[in-house]
Amino acid sequence: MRNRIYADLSAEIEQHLAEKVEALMAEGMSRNEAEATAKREFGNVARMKERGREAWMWPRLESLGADVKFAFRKLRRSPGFAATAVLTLALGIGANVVVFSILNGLVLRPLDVPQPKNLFQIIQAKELWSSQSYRDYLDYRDRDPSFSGMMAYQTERVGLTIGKSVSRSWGFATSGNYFDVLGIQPALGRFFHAAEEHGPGSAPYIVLSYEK
Amino acid sequence: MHGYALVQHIKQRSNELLHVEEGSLYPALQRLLKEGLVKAEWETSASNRRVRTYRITPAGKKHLEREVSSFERMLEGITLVLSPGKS
Repeated sequence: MRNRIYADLSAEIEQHLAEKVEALMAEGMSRNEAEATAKREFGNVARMKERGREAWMWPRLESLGADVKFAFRKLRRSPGFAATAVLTLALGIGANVVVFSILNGLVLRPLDVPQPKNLFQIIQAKELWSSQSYRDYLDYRDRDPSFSGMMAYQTERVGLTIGKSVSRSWGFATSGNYFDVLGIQPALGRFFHAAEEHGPGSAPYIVLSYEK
Repeated sequence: MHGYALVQHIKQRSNELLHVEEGSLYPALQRLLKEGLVKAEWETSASNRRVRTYRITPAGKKHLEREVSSFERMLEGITLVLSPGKS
């Protein structure tokens, strides 16, 4: 059965080339020229036959087995190439692990709040990173019936002095209800609450974060 | 239609825009044969050659219709994405 299929395939490919050669010769090419052109336009005959046969192989296992054996033979014969290949793979995988672990920490790690799925960011349609004015925030907060709470924040660059060393860091200026809306507790001390907010510009409290 | 004629047909009908490696037709035909989407028989062609002729089966027709409609949807999607936005 298999042999019959493979023989048919070979025969029809030979036939294809023969017909092509005839057609090219009819256009005025010499036999040699025609044969070369036919082969060139056909592509790699042996490769095409192999791919044709692969269609019938039991889920490619036959070809996989042969490939693996072939690969090992080749590698044993050229250890320099094998070492280069292994090194390339090692570096490639290493680089990807580094990138993934950074991404994992920054993006994929779930938010460390009680109900991360109920947390939404309000943006203006069409502008993905738009922010709202403080007055708009007050209106939204006071008139919105859908959320249990609404807090506001703004990223700020801040100076940080520890002992005698001064550094620049990122901070958030937030509304007083910030931590209550997120529903989280401090590791040490206490958070501020909405009642302790005295309008814009008042910044009597500070919360420090730390990296685990 | 047999393999060589199929290649000529594709070239002519596409105004020579689709220039595939002729040989790659045969692995594709083998896969179609295996799936039962076409069947093949050795016949004598009009030009008196022994050629292996392929015919589409009913299952092949059904499959073709599905493929064409999913291709059209994909093309539509690509066209929409590439067309200038309205915003």
